[in-house]
Amino acid sequence: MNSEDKLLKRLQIERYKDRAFSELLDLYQERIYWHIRKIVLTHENANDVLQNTFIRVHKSIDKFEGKSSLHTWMYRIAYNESIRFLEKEKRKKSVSMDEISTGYYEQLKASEYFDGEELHEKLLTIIHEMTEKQQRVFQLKYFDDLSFRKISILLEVSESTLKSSYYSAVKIIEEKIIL
Amino acid sequence: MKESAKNKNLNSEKLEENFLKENGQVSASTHHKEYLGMDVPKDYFKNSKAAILELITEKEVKKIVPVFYLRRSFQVAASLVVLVGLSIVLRLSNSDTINDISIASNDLLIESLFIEETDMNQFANDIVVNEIIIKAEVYEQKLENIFINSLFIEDSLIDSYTNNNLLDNMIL
Repeated sequence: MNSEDKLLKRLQIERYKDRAFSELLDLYQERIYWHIRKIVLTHENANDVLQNTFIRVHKSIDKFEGKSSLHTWMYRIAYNESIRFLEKEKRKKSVSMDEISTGYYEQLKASEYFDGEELHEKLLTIIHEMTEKQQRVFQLKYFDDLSFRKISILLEVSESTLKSSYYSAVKIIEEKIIL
Repeated sequence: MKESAKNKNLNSEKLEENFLKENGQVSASTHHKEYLGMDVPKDYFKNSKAAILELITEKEVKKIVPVFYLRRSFQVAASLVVLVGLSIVLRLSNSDTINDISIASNDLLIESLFIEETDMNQFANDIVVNEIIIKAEVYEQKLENIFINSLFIEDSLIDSYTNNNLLDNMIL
């Protein structure tokens, strides 16, 4: 039994749950935050979604059957919460998902939690211009360092499709930034 | 000014050099700051952890309901107590012998305190038999009274009289 399984066991026993949940936050909060941040872009949005994600994790942990790893399961919840957040904003503002995303991209550039260097802006613009699938795969693989198998579970897409999306995303970035 | 522009250029060159090469070597925050320029407020993760734990505690406190509502068995037991209590009260209130019975019951209860445990079964049997006999005698007496009273009532009223009194008492 690995440390993640042990943590999961403790999370599912009521009297150890609070302590184990605090450890879970220490372990995964930062990574989950960055996963969310790349989807919703601004810190304020990411903070809201992160809270919702962990509240949902806490609420549903008893029902988690361990079919995937705890880590992948939480990424999945974070991803769903992020998309739910964007959908909600889309409905609230009656605009398309692209417009929402562009709006947040502009907000990010103006935010105090963005350093505004030319290269960063360039990279974000390139990522922003990719297809949604390429964006997600590239971010999950490159920035979150997830394996293709985990990304495939998370996005419910076959590994071969993911690999092809990832390498085409890398090629686009190389062409536009490095070369 | 020139110095800072020079540094910026050097950083950019270093970024371009390392981008897509080093992977998973540094912390997530450093990685994101370095390549995407995204940052978080100071001590954000420490404060965020506290905020999340607080939110969860708040939600749990809201979710807590009195123990009574948690256990279905408590509700069933309470309903039974109410039903049994109500039936006893109604039954006793319909009886003219309420005082006699309650006095007899009190006497029996006091008496039961002095009974040895080994004789308890015998004592309980005696009480049940006594109570049945007392009640049977009381009802018999009431039936007799009803028939005697009915002799003094006109024939035309006999039906309603039996409906109202005789049947009620027989059923009870």
